[in-house]
Amino acid sequence: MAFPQTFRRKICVKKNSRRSCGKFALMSLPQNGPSTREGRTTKSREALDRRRRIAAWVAREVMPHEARVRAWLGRRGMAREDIDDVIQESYCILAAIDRFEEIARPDGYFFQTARHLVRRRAARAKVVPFVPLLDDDHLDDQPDPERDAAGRLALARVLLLLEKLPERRRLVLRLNRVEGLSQRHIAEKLGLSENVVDHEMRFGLADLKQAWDAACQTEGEAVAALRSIGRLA
Amino acid sequence: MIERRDMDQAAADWVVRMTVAEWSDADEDALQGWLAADSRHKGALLQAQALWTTLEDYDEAIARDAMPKDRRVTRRWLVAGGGTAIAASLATAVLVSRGQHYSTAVGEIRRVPLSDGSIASINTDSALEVAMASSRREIKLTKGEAWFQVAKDPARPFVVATGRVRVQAVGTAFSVRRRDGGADILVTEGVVEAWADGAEGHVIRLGAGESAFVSDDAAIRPVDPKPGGVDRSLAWRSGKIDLASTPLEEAAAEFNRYNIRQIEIADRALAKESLDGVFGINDPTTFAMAVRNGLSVPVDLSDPQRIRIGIEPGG
Repeated sequence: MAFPQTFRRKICVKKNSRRSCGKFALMSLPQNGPSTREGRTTKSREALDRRRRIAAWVAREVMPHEARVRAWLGRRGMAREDIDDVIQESYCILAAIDRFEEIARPDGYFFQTARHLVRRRAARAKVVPFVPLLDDDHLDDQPDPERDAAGRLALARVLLLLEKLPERRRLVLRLNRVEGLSQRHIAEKLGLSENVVDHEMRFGLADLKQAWDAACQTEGEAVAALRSIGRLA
Repeated sequence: MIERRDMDQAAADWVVRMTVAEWSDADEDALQGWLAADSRHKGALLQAQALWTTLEDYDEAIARDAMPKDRRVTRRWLVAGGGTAIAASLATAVLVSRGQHYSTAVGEIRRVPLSDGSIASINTDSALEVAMASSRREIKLTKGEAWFQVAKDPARPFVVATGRVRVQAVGTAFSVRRRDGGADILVTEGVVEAWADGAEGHVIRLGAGESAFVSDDAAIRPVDPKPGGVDRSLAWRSGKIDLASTPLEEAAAEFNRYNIRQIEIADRALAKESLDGVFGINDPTTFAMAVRNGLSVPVDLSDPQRIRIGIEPGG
């Protein structure tokens, strides 16, 4: 984890330059798809940008609280598959929010969304979920610094999961995500074909997603168990 | 479960593709087609992309100089000075309207993650107020000292205000210490700009390793950087006082910032004696013993409220 100072600097510079170019220009490679040579229109670009922004928001404000929401669902006696479904549906609802930046308490919103879905399941009613943007209850017990720390704990959790991937997969993800190397550079560096690098990135991310679900579920179950025996407020 | 894995894999494929390829209209259309095929797909895509984004913040997290091992348990640690009373006076974080207040007691040092991903290390006997707005991140240091590791966000400048002094950064690390009539600014990483409110024409730019005193009346006094000076001045972040040719009176004043048990220099002739060494911030006794041995002077430790240097016990 501890990189030498100079190395750190280098990463930062790289990252900045990548950002200032926007659109990952430095890492872009023509893919073997048929359509990459067409110009991108404003509309496609906007859709892409919006997707990036909401993903960054979810990564920062929502995902870190997933284990807590799973814990709450677990206390309601829900089975793992049902919890997975509710979490999944919650993210679907989040994905469709127009002005996500305006949500004052994203963790509260996430919580409310899940709660609403549970109710809807129970009632078997077919209504479109609507969740008021500022509904905060159930979360007042959580001091703000704790919520703030959740983001860093989430990152730590992802890093641990990354470490558990097979060596090559882990290395490829790290070189791309952390050091900002393009697929071609990674291929050269590791003596692999670009196709293999692409494959490792795609499967690595899917692995991480599966591992993330499992880790949050386990943590949620632990929290729920502690609560049920009164060891956690 | 297998079905879920397939969906996650498809989502991951799209996310990676958005990262590595030029994104054409045809790509967008194909993605829209996939999203429309199943109502669960948009959630899967969002989750995968969010995970992808989390990894991107990896290097920033390292640069944030966080200690992963300690992150869980010691986001805040107390330095009990002189007695147990201080340990009981826990710092309070009170949510007041949109601003958040943090304060520390004498001897307490707190590390606080802020909602934008920045970190504030708050030194002894300090108070600050945090207001995160969409266009600006504002910190008001009402007393004491804090060091900030600022998360990069060019759209939202990070501004620390203390008295009339203003210090602005985008993504960097620096400390601000409130003094009578102004503030000391120390930069550990990147560049900051500092000025006094009402004197925006007189902006000073400080780079890593540089420091300055900015007074409330806009006078700016750059301080000559000493080798290792900035790191040494910020040793408090790890609970240390780092002395390098520091006069005894300055060293004593430094210990007195953190401890109820105050050091007094009974023999003024010793005030300018210079000292080297690294000491625990909450351990004035060890420091006093080191002074006794190093300078061969008497030290009176008989009074639990104070330590007197240069005088025999009972003298």
